[in-house]
Amino acid sequence: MQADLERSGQFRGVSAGVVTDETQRPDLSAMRQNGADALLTGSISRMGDGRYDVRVRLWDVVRGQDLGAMSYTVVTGDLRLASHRISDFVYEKLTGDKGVFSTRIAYVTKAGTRFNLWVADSDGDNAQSALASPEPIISPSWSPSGTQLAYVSFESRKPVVYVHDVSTGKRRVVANFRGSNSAPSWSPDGRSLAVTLSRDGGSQLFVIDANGGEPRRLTQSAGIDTEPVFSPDGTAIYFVSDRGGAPQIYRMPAMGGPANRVTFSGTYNISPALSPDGRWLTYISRIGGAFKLHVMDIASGNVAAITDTQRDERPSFAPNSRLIVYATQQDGREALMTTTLDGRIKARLSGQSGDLREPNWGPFNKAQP
Amino acid sequence: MTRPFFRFTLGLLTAGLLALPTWAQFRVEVSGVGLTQVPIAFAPLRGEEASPQ
Repeated sequence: MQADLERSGQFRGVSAGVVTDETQRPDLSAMRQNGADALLTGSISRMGDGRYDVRVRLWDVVRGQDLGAMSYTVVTGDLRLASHRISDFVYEKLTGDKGVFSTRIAYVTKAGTRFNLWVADSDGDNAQSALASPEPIISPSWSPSGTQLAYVSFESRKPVVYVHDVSTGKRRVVANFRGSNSAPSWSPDGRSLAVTLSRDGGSQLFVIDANGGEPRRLTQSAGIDTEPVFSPDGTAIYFVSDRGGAPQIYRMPAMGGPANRVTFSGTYNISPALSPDGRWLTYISRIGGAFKLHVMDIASGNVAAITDTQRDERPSFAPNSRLIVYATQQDGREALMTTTLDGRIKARLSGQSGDLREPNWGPFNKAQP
Repeated sequence: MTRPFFRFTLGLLTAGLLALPTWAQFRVEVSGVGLTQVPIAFAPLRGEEASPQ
C-alpha cells in the first residue's frame, strides 16, 4: 500500500512508530510530531475457513478526524488486490480523485522470437499472458468496460485486428481486409472501433462494428491517416496525418468531416492519447533525433516535454487522468514507465527477460474482490 | 517465459508485509519528488507477520 501510494507521487511515507489497530483511537498528537498528516491503521487475521479478514482505518492527523474504515474478506490469492483496493480508498479520501492501483495495464513483451501479450496489475504484479505468438503483436487497446482487448497480430503474416475477451480467452477477427489492418481504438460506448485500413489503397481511417462487418470510411486524404483515438465524449477523433507534408495530429468529428490541425510545434508528432477527463493530450514528438513524450493542455494549447529519455513510444493515460504509461528505452532495453503529468514522479517498470513495449492502461474495474 | 523477481529498489519503500510483491513481470523503480506530497504514516497491521504476503 505504501509502495502504491508513493508511486503516485502524491504521498510520502513517514514513521508510524508504535500504534494500535483499527479498533482504537491512536495518539494523533504523537503522529503530528512525527510529521504525518494522515495515518493508516489496521489488522489482518486468518479466519476459520482459511480466508483473511483485512481491516483498515484512515485518520486525518491534522484535524484529528476518523476518515473512515474499510474491510475485505479475501482468499490468499486476493490479498494483493485487497491491498490495491485499500490504496485506492486512501488515495480517494486524501486527494478527492479515484485511485488507479487496482486497474490493469496491457503490454507486449518480446523475448527472443516470442511475442507475448500480457495483462498485469498497474504495479506490474500478477501478470497473465493473454496471447503468445512467434509473430509481432502490437497496439493493444482496452475496451471501455475493461473486459476486452483489441490488438493487431501478425500471426497470419499480415496485420489483422482482433478483439480478445480477457477473462475467457476467446477472440474474434474484426478487420482482415486486403492490405493492412491496424491501430484499433474503441469508441467510448464500446460498440465500434476506429481502425486504419489500406484496403482502398493508402492508409485511411474507418469505423467498424466491434463484432466486425463492413467498415465505414471516415477520411479521404491523399496522405497517410492513422492512429485514431476517440475523444472521451465520443464526438471527435484525434489522429495522425501527413496530409500537410509531415506527420501531425489532427481532430475531426467522429462521424467524419473537416479536420483541424492540433499540433503546431515540431515537424513530427504522432501517437495521440487523450485523458479521460478530456483536459490533456499526450503524444510523441520527434525533436532532433529524439522521440519525446509531450503533454498538451488542450484548453490553452500549452505543451510540455516531460521526459529525459530519447525513444518514448505509445503513451496512454491512467483512468483517473493523473498518470501516463509509455514505453521507452533505457540502458539499451525497452521498458515501461509511468509519469505524473508534470513529469516529476516517474516509475520504471522493467522486465528482466525481454523487452516491454506497447503499453495501454485499462479503465476503472468495477469488480470487487 | 520465467517471471522475474519483482522488487522495489527504493530504500524508503519499507511497506508492510501485505504490500510486499512477490513475483511479477516488472521491476519498479521510483524516481523524482513531487511538489506537494501528503506525509502519511502506515502503522504495521496487527497480525500481518502471520499473513502470507
